[in-house]
Amino acid sequence: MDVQTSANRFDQAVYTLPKHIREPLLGVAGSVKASAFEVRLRVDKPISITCGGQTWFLDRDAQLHNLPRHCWVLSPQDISQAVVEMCAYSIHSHQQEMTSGYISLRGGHRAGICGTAVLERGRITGVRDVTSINLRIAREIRGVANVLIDEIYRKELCGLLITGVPSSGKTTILRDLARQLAGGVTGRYIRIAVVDERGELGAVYQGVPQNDLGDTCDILSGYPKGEGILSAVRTLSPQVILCDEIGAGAEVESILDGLNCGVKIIATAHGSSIAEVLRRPQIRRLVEQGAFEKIVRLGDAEEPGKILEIANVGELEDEAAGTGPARPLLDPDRNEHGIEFVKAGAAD
Amino acid sequence: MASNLSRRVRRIENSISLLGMLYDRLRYLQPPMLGLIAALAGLEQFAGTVYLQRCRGAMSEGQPFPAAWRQGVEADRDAVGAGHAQVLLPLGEVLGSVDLESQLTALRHAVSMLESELEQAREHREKYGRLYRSMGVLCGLAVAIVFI
Repeated sequence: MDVQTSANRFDQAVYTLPKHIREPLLGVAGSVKASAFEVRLRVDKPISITCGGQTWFLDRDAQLHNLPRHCWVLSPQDISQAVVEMCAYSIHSHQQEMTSGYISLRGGHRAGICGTAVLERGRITGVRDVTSINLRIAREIRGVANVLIDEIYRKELCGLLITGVPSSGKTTILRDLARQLAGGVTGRYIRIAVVDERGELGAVYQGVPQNDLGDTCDILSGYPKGEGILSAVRTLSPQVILCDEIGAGAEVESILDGLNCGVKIIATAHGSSIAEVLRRPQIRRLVEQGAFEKIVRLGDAEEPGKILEIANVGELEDEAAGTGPARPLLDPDRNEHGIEFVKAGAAD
Repeated sequence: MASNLSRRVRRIENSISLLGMLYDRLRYLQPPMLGLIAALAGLEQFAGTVYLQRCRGAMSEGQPFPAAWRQGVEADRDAVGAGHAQVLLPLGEVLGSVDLESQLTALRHAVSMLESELEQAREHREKYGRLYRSMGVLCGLAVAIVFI
């Protein structure tokens, strides 16, 4: 994405804010706009812009400072107004998202919100007195999944688990995979169903996906993952289901149901290593049941989307059993997962 | 004058119907306000609802809902009447700006206030409508007698 396009994405994101807040932001230098990935608004604190490892503080004249002193401070009313305007005066349309801590915005951007939880019978039903907003600027990175397409999907359609630490680019890779697979890059158009519980993949805004997910992709936006997977299997006959951040019990059962229908799963999970991810019982269960043939490990947040390792689950099993050759790791510093693998179908 | 009384009744009925639709759509579809107002303004039964049409116009020009609604109701205040406008105006500060349950509560409250207004308007029409019509007939007769 070129500098101008990146700066335009910044402008598009801040345009959702009230006029008196957005104007200083729109006046920021283009180079800063292009490299910014977050704008943070906090009660009684100055606006800050995060660019890579650097945080800048903004004053009313669109000047950036290293230190927050003498910068413009936002009031609680500024933050409340920002929330209402980001919802386009339609709080009700975003209420479900807000209970999950974010607001989806036009252009695929999203605002994380932080405030006081409103609870009903122990369940969060709303958020009041918002104290901070983290406006994350979405930038599609086209081609970030090229390695996976070339190494895996040009040869076969298989289940894939993408692991990495937060901000390592898992969602970005998943989005690009959907776009390429459903865009016929492998020589055929794969029917993809994207279960987009948090709206990060398709970023559907008022019924229109803001991100290109390919020509043969169906997006189930806002569906809880488990229900979305079941709905996709029942009604959309997908070849592949994509979903972000798996790990809860409900979705594991749904994924296993989907597997029985011959659907391949591509999903992501948080974890700094494959061993760490496999220590989570739900993920391990999915791997044992054959949901994933490959596991990918990404680099850290400084190089989003960088693939460090592509592991074959079969080789992991052999390795764990001590019967097979060492798996071909790009990262040779780990070779012990301590996981007992059960062959697919044998877990029952 | 009698027709004015009937028009007032029809306007209140129309507003009650509009708020009922707003309530149902908000409750079951939770659409964005711009789309919701545009959809309702596009219905034939609300083609003559001036404040709604004005509100849609202002929103499509980029005004936020609270300002657009206030502008619409203020522009139509003389036609709808002060009491009717007083019920409608506060909705602009609530719809879209607070949680769904509070919006629905505000709509229910507004509908119940308008129902009281409607009852009064109907009583007024019954009480004075006949009187105004009779007076009209008598005036006509008086004019005819004068000419004869």
